Parts: sequence; structure tokens; C-alpha cells
Amino acid sequence: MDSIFAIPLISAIVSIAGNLAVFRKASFLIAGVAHSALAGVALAIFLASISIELDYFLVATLFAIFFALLATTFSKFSDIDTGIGVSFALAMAIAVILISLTRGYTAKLWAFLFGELFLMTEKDFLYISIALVAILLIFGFFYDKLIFFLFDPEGAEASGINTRLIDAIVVAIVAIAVVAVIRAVGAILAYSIFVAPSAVAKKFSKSVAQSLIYSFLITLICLILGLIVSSAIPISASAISAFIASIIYLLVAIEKS
Amino acid sequence: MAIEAKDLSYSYGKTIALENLSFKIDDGEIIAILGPNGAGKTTLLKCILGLLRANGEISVLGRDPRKDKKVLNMISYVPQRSSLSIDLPIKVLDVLKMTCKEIDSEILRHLELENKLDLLFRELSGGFQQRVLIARALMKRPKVLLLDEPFNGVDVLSQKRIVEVLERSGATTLVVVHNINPVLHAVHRVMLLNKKLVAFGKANEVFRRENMVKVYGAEIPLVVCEEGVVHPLYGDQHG
Repeated sequence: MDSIFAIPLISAIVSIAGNLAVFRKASFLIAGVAHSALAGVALAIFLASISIELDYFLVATLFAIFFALLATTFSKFSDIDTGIGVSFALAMAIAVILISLTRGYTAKLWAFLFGELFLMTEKDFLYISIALVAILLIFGFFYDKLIFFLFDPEGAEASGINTRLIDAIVVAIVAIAVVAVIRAVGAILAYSIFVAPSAVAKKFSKSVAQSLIYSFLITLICLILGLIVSSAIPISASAISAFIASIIYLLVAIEKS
Repeated sequence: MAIEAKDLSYSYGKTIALENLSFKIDDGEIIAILGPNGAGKTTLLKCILGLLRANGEISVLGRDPRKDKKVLNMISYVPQRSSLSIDLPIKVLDVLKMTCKEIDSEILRHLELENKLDLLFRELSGGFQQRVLIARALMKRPKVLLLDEPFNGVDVLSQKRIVEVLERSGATTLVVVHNINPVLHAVHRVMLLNKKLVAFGKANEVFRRENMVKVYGAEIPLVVCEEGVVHPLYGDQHG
């Protein structure tokens, strides 16, 4: 039941963060952040195995923000893709080391890797609700500056906007969003759920607001179809949703080209 | 005095981009900055904006832009179009309102943008995109206007309209160009740059064989137009 109520909230989170990542031309950031969050979850599970209980959501959020900021710092030396790739590899190395050190908890981690849209708890619903409120507040407050920065970073900086702060806000929103929905959609499948609907919406939209609405609707349809199909046949709902999102992107790409 | 630099230098790590530049630019002057790729033209604009912390002295409208960010309220910067995320779904009106909430219909009229406000920026031609960026810069009513290669990929009519509004604006204007011809008759002085200031003065004083060889490392043909102004003839203009 929680999954059905959570889907519109997940779609809203995915729409805002996905569009920001696509507009920032850093959609790979989603994959990087998702795997960094996984390292945070691995740490929380490892600590739990030695009787230190920490909230996975908090640890994963901190990990995700830290590694995402590290990625943008690395990108100053080369390009954003290389920066994300290196920090993502570092996060995954940490995750694998922690998983290797943890006995008997790998099933828990599996859920974060591939997602369990059907098995969402009240706690997950709470995290998603908090994340959505936080993202809406940050996004709404900085909206004009975010759009100026994403469209014309040099012009924004020359107008006195603190572009480092705005870029960090983009990264923070993406990080919070990915962590909030990682248990629902999974770290591996997050990329297609976040990026494909936003990339498709951007092509057809006449405004940023329209792009947000279209990507929200596409995500909503993908997730609902995922739930329906997985209730009929025993296949992961998040895998079905990611599959549909990718197919939509593929069809649009073929049509547009 | 609008802009004054003394021994201005900037390096990217160990690579020198600007070396000991000293110059003065008066209020209302239009200056063209020329030089080969990597000559430090864009770097100079960013040092004037205070976005890059150069060594030496720099004063814009009597203030040091490295310390006093409020001076940015009086400067407009038009970056190269290649630095924009052009495919964002943003309307022309939204682009114009990024720096100034009040739309100046006079500027729109001069740049023939009145009927373009509801169009998507990405659907405009390169020439009209550049006109929008210039309009956005002018609506801020800047005292100093910095433009980085505004004529690249822009058709002749758009070049003409852009030069007309630059002349009308009255702002102290620095325009980085590879080809000076679109703006030649509007500029008061020309700056030839190749990390160092090679020459700075009237077009007829600056466009000399020895200066062109110093800056470009090759002979550039120079011709005198009907109005008696010397200008370089670039390779693609011989035809």
C-alpha cells in the first residue's frame, strides 16, 4: 500500500533531480551518486553488524553529497564525466570492501542495489516525504538562479551569482533525491528512471515547467506499469519500470533522429 | 576613466595567459580586442570582471573588481554562445529577464525581437540568439559592456543590428573579435593582444605589418577601405 502512495512522490523527486542533472549535462552524476549512496548504505550495514546502529538514510545522504561534491571537484582537473567516474569508482571500492567485511547482511544490500518498489515501508515513505519537501523548498527558493546558471554559467557568474554554491545546490538536490528513492528503484536502475524521462521531456517541452510536468508523468506511468506487471508475474517492479523508461527513450531517440 | 590596468598578469598554473598589461580606457569608448587563439582575450575580460584574480592593478569604474563585487551591477558580460546550454527549454522572454526584470521595448525594437519573446531560445537562428544575449546585456543598463566573440556564426544583418545598438548604448564597450570587420567603423581603438599588449590605439596605428607579424606570427594582408581605415584582410576574405 505504501508503494502506491509513494509513487507520485517518487515521480516528483525524480522529475526535479533528473531535469537538473540533464540540464547540467551531467546525467552520469545520477549513476555516480547512486553508487556513492550504496557505499553509505554498506557502511551503515557494516556498522550495524558490529552493533553500531546508524540511520542508513543519513549515512547514505552524507556519502552521496560528499562523493558528488568530490566528483565536481575532480572535474575541475579534467571533465565532469571523468570526475564522476573516478569518485564513483572510489565509492564502489569502499562499498565492496565494506560488503566483504560484513557477514550475513548482503541480502539487505541487494535491495538497495536493485530496488524493491513493492516492499516499501512506512519509514521509506517518511524519508521520501521529507526529501520531497526539502527538494521543493530548495528548488523553489533558488529557481531563478538555478535556471540562469544551468543556461549560462559564465553569464550567471558575471552577474554576481555564486555559481559554486548554485552548482553545489544542484549536486545536493540530486544526492538527496537519489538517496530518497534508492530503496525503491535501486542504485543500478536509478540512472534510467531519473534520466530517460527527463531527457525525453526536455525534447518536447516549451518551458522548464513543462519539462518537469512531462518527466513527472512519464516516471509515474513507468513506475505504475512496473507495479502492475510485477504483481502479475514475479519480476522486480523497479526493473520493469527502468526497462519501460529506457524503451520510451529509445523510441523517442529513433523517432527524433 | 572607465577601466585602468597596471602590470596586470594572470597564469593558469604555470601557463602564462596575460603578462604585464597596462592600459587605460575612457568612458564611452568602444574597444576591439584582437589576437590569436590563446592570446588571453577571454582571460582579460574575466580579469576585468574580477572572476579571475589577476596580479597587478585593475580598476573598473574606480573600483577593484576582485574585492568589490558590487561593481558587477554596472557591468554586463556577453559570453561566447558556445558556453551556453542552448537546448534548455527556455523562452526568449525568460532569457531576457535573467538579468533585469523590466523589459526595454526600445532595445527589443532595435534588435527586431518584439515578435520573438514567446519563442524558445533554442529555436532561434544563431544571429537572433546573439541579439537576445546582447539585448539581455543592454537591459541591465550597464556602464561597462564586455562581449566575447559576439559575431561568431552571426549573419551580416544581425552583425549590423548588434553594432548599431552597441553604438547607441553609450556604455564603455570591450568586444573580443577574431574578425574586426563587422565592428571596425564603430570602434574607437583596437587592442592587439598576444599574452602581452602588442599595440593599442587607432586602427590605422595598430594595423601595421610588424604588429600583425608579432601577434599572429605571419604576414596578414592589410587594406585601406573607402573611409581610409586600415583593416586586416583574412584568408577567407580573398575570394
